[in-house]
Amino acid sequence: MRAAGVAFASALLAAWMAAGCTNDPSYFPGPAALEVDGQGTEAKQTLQLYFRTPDSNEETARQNASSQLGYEVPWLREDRVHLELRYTITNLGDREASFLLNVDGASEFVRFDEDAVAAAFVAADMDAPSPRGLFQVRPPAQALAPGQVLQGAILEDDFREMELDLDAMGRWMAPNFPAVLLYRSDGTGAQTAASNAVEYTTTPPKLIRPALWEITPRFNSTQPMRCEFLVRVRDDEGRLWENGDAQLMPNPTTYMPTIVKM
Amino acid sequence: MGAARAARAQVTAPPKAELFPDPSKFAYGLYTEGALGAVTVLGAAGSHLSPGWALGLTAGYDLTHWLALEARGVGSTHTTAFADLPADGELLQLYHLMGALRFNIRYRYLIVSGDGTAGVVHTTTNLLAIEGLNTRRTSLAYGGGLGIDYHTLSRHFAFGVHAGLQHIVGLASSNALTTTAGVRYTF
Repeated sequence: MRAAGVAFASALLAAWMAAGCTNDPSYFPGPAALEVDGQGTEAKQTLQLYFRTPDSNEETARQNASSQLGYEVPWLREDRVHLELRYTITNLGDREASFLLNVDGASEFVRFDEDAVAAAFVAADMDAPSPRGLFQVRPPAQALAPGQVLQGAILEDDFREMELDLDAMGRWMAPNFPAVLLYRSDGTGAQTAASNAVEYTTTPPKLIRPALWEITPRFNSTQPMRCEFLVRVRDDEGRLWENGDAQLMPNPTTYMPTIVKM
Repeated sequence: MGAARAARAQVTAPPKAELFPDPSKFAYGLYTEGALGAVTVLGAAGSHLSPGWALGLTAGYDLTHWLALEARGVGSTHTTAFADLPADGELLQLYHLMGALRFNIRYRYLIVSGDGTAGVVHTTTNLLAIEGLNTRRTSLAYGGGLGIDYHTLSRHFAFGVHAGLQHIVGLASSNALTTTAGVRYTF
């Protein structure tokens, strides 16, 4: 009977521990709400997520992996750091209207800034193609009524796509960047016929993609509106910064498209 | 061969009804208990956390027939409610890790108990901090509870229900009402 008691206690402990084995996310609020007056001026905020630097063992492992694969393996890996952006949009105006919500961002290697992209086209005396944001939230079919509140999320899959697109453009010189941004991959690292994922024409197979550490939502509308946002981070390997850690301060290169004049 | 002798017997008192099982033979000492139930947060944080299902685990020791020491863990899952804010609808867990002093009154197969508890409550995410409801994810907590257990025919197993109220100091001074039903095994 004592064995039954030990089994009972072990089963209880196992059930309790299994219930407790969750990957607890951390949340980063936007520095301030994005608020527009409906006069055409875009609002944007840049949110930098806090990560720690690798310790010597982790850095050695990263460098070994880089030597093995033949390219620089990121410290913040897309398959270990999972992002989601949750937003709430409120129509503060007195007429119904839609909105534009784009997201730019930066990995530890490359930053995508649509202002810089637009400036490059202006410098070349050309119109910048659309889309320009790293990700575009699709507005609802029905415009927001006055006072209406819309809640939504840019999901982890969307961020994986952004991370692939940014790396393909920034490190692997994928041509035709509007196509890279438009076409969706299947998000698992394999090209699909349906998506015609142009990213994979230049990236190595089984690419270890860098995760975004900087996120810049850009918001606009023809009516006064407010957009509040929050980024959720699931960190599989404890790479988020905590008190006492040395903070990672990447210095990514800003992406510049290759502009070919016809 | 003589004549058969008549048998004689005398009834002096009716036999006492015997208790079965005998409570004095119930196992006593070290025990573990598993429980399922719910945690409801009351107070300032209560309107921002839905009641959530809870899983509890207790290890205890009967110091005497009326006094026991316990270590308790209760984990519960809640959904946040922040109307019109991005933090609305997220899941988080509360983990209660408490020490308890439990007083028992035993009557046959029933045990009525009252307890006092002290320990910590840990919140698994920083979401409540973002909304200004706590400054630390781990907070001191204290409180008490009441329970009733029924001992089965086995000398080891008992079933019971328990309700406890914990004051969570760091969670905007809110309270957590824990209601569980459980099974206990005494070694």
